[in-house]
Amino acid sequence: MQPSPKPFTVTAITRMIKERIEGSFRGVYIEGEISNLTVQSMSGHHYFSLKDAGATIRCTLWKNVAAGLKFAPKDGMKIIAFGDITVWEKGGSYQINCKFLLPMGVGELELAFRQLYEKLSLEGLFDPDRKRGIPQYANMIGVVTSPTGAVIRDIINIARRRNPLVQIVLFPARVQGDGAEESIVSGIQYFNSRDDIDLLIVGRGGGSLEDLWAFNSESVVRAIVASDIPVISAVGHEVDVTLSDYAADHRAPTPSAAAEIAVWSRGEFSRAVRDHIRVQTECLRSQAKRARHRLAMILSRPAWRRPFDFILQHRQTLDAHVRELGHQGHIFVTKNRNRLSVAASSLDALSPLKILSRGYSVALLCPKKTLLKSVKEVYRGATVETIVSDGRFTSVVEAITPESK
Amino acid sequence: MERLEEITHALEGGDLPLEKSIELYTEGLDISKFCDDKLGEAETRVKVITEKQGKLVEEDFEDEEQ
Repeated sequence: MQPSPKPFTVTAITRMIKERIEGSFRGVYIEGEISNLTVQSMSGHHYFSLKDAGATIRCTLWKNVAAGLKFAPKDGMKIIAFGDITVWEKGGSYQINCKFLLPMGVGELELAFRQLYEKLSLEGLFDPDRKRGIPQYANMIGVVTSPTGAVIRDIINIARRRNPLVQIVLFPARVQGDGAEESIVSGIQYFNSRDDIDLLIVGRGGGSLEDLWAFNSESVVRAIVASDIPVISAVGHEVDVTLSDYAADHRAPTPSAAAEIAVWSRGEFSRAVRDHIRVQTECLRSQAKRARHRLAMILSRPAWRRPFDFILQHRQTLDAHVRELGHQGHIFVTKNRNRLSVAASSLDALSPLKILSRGYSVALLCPKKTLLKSVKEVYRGATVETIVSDGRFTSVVEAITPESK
Repeated sequence: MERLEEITHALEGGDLPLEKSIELYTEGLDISKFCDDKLGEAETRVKVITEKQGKLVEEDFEDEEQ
């Protein structure tokens, strides 16, 4: 019988395994599907299994590595893990200590983009009714972009052409790389701290997804959403769409387009003013014409053309009446004059004076001169005045003789 | 511009008394003159924000085109 070799202690054999394995599997890329993902709340470290049809390896992902990921690992996700295989002696297990993770099939940036899009979209940050209108007559425009580069140049050129009255204020920002997010957020917040800015343009020129990445960051999106001043985003070329574009009140495909929208045209404004005056003049002219026409209509009526016509008409009638009246009067007078003559002659015939000339006399009792018609009215010695045709005489009554019947 | 639009609308309505129309029209002409004067001014002003001694200040921006 062979003597058995001296047994290893668990610690010793584990140590040997550890050295063997850790020595051989440094910096390996392993692809698989994430499962049983847990995040330890205290430490923030991630623990999960990477598996495929045949096997499973445990993985560890320290908190700071996880924070550096652009996407969030989830169960079921197919990834490539890069790291060292380590042996956990106490537990008797081995795991991949991940240095970074890459999503499989999809670029990590693209995955990150999708994840962030979903998350923020669910919060309603990209809702169409959140969007405000762009002011029609912005007089001070804040621009957050690189101080070098085509964006600010294009904006200034177009603004200059369209309307020199509009002022531009540039906040020079880093638009890619380290600190870009913070820089852009500062710019947006700075302009919001002023009360004289009407509109913001936030953007940068074209580039790769990586170059544009700051404009996909959560902090920039939230800064745009929080901005009280309306924001036009102008990031990259027409085909590039970033989350900032979704968050902004208006997306411009290029910086020039942004300037065209932002800056009101002096020329168009002048034209509009002139058009208004033209229309107003026309309205007033036609109103005056209508008024003149109405006046003419009124003045053409007979009452106005021959105003004295009315009077003449009536005067004519009056004259006729007067003439008629005169004529009738004449007739009347003539007729009555005749009657008068006739009456006068009859009267004359009956006149007591005529009677006197025929020999009759009138006796009057003096002194009252009362007419005597009867012998009873006199007495002897009474004074009587007698009127004859050519005069009168006074006598005294001597004798009275009543007439016997 | 708003006021000008209001005036145009009122005059187009056509049922204002003539005096009122003339009054509005004159006002329109005044506005138009004011606009012409204002718009005639100016040259584009561009400012840039710079940090000076820890504070953010506005300065004139010099770009190559100027």
